[in-house]
Amino acid sequence: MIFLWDEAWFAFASFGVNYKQRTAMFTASKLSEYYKSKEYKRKYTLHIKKLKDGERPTLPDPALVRVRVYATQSTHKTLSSFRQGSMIHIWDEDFRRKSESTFLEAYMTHTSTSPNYQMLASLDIGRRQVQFEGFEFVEKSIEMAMLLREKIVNSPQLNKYFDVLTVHNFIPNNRRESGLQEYYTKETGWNMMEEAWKQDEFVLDPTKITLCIGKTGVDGDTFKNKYLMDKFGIQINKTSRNTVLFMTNIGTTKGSVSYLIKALLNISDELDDELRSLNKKELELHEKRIHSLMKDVPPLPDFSYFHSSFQAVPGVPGGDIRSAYYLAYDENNYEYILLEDCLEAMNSGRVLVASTFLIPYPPGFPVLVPGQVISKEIINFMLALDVGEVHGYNSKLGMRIFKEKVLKRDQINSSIAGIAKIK
Amino acid sequence: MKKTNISRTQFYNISQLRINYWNRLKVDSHALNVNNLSNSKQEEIKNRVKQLIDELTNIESYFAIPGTVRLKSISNLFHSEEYSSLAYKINETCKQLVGNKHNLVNDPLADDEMDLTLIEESENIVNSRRNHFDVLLIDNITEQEEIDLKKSYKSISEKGDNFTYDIIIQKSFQDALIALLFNHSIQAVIIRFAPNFHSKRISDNIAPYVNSIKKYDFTQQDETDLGPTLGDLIKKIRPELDVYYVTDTSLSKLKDSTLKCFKRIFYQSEDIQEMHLTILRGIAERYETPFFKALVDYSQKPTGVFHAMPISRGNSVFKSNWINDFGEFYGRNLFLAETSATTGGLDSLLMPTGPLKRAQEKARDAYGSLNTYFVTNGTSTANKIVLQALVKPKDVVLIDRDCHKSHHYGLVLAGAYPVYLDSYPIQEYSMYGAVPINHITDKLLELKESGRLDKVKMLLLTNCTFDGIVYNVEKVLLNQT
Repeated sequence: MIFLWDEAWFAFASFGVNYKQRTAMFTASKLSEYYKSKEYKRKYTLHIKKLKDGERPTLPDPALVRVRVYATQSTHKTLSSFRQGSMIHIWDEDFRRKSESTFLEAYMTHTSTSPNYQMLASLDIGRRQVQFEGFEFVEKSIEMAMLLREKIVNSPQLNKYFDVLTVHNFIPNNRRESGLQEYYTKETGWNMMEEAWKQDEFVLDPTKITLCIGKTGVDGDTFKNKYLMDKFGIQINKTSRNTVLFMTNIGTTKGSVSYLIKALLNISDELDDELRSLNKKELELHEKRIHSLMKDVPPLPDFSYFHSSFQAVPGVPGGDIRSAYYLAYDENNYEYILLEDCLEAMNSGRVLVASTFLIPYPPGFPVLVPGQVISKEIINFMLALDVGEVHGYNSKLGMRIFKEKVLKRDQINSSIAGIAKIK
Repeated sequence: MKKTNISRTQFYNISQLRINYWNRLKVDSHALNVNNLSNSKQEEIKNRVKQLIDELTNIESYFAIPGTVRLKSISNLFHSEEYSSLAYKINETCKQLVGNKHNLVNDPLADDEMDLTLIEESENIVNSRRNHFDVLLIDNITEQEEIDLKKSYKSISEKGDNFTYDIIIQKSFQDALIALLFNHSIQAVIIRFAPNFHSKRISDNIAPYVNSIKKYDFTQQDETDLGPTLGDLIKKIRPELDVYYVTDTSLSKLKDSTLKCFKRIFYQSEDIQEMHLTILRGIAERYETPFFKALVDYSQKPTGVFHAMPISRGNSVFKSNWINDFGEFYGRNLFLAETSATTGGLDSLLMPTGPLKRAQEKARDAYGSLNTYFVTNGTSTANKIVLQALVKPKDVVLIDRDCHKSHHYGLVLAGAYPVYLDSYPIQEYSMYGAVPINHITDKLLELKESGRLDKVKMLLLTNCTFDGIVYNVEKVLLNQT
């Protein structure tokens, strides 16, 4: 099997002591060495000896195993490079033999014949930087993030409205073997993260600081635009219903951290004033709003399943997303249904199947892909979602779904084929 | 859940601790300089100062600046009770150490009154010692030998050198690793002969910050093997550094693995001039940026453009009466570097043979891959390239459903059959976590039972996620290989 790790947010990680061991390239090289080692050969021989008759080995044969790992990185997101500057890193021990020519074809398919030279030069110079000061700067960016965490945790004024989400908020207990709960508490100081980064199934990158703002009564998107951007010129990207995400990077200075804290302090003072001026009824509404932000969160839907006519093999996971996508190039194959009409249609027994991607932003992942059956959970999620931007959804026409004849096309096709056979 | 010992500290890292110590020393040394202290008060402060000087002597031994010599003179001033000179010297050291006052201030709120641009400007001034670095030398030598060695290195460096360096000497294997952890200016390492293994300087105060080196235990190893072992280890944890080995072992007795892990091997008898030049050349190689340089060179050459791109060299911009503000905003260099030429020292990204090829090879080494390709259309395109390169129609791809859009579009283009993996939800905050390993295994089992396992071509995951959840890559790879 080949592994593709999307390291869009992780280009800097190769240069941090703890981070490095969780990057694709470092791990690939480590495993490659491991499979070639005498130690592994011994282990494998022993494993084979112990097998009972008919049992198949669960360890890969050291003579045959190939480490095949790819990583894509947005260099510009976390290191010095112009926007769009990215890299593909490859540790594929079968590259020359199996993939180089197809890789080059694919590379040429998608690469402009007039690539931007300034961007290429920035990738070159960014490489110099990480080799000389990546280690230092990555360490600094973590330090800045930790300062920010510490400051917010320690400030009673900020705590009235803001909570820094930490390790245990993001990662379930049973996936944290080290038992690390958080990076910092007021009482015990700093928890060192080495152990957790070495063994836990998941860890939290400390440079991504998620702030829960539910207690302000303001939703994430409004907080980002009306408060941080308009009032303080602070730019962030990701929000959810009740959180905003701050990131530190190798360009983050102590000055910008203190500016952010100052902004949060000012906002919290302002909220204090506002709260004091509310009458009883208004206060009730405010409490309600907070409750709605913190408690009435729409349940996140899982992927439902591909409609049987789009399943690669019926009953087995794996969908023919391409056929579904291209079937919708024929306008006779689809129709629209309003979001609020969906539940009723489903209750009357109709199977609704998406003919397009449906991607609300945020969070930015597809709630529906072509060929996927629309579930009640998905409809409820969409109905509860209050975001303006939903890619693939036409607010006037509704959701684009397949007509029922399309879902039955296999039966029609096979009966035609059947008739043809008889003839 | 099993609890293990997670060590706790008051300061996040060694540099916070170090700055705190210096600040306290500064305050206390000023207090000592004030005459009207009661005896008991003075004793109390003196005790603190003594302790701080001891701790700092220990910590500063891993840094070139202010260096152990300076600490010694501070200690001497303290013992001879010259408090005015002591306060002055410590004050100067603090200034030199942190470059500006902002790094000294542990509390970011103290800068409340300044606005962001002002603060950032003053922070940028710190960078005055450009292209200066430290060389870590590991050898068990006496103090006098140390002074002599530093002197002889000083004497051969020349004014015209593009790079300058200081030498830091560590006497043991562990100390070398600690220096690499603490001191961010080290760019080259010289391992001489056989160092001791144990550090004698891991005090209680710095112990929490050297956790990551404790897992390396080579106490059982023969001392003559420690040099190569250290070289090998540095190559793994800091591959960007140049590591040299100085030995007496004859070439025929050197192991292949030793020869491979060092950039170059020297013999004791060889001149240090050669070492000096080798260090500088190593730095120059890393400093070299083949494509950036080619572009700069190209833009400085006079050329006539009889090709595409009127904007090239700014020709259509600067002579214009209507869009010259565009040129003024970006400056001339941007336009001088804009060209559609692939010759004249430049290169073609689609079939690189010159500076772009070399730039990509250097990136390959820096990021630790076997092959690295630059992509100019963003990671969305990078993702589609990899998918198209490896996956053909009807191949099965295991993919986390909440990964970036470009992957889903890549699957449509490739005609692959996606098997979507669900990340665990974090309902309270409307976010997704990541895909648990057992969920991946379950899906694979399901495919195996229906005889589809051989169709599975790829596992595609996002690491780390937008919200910062990081996989245990090694566990995932070991589990599914």
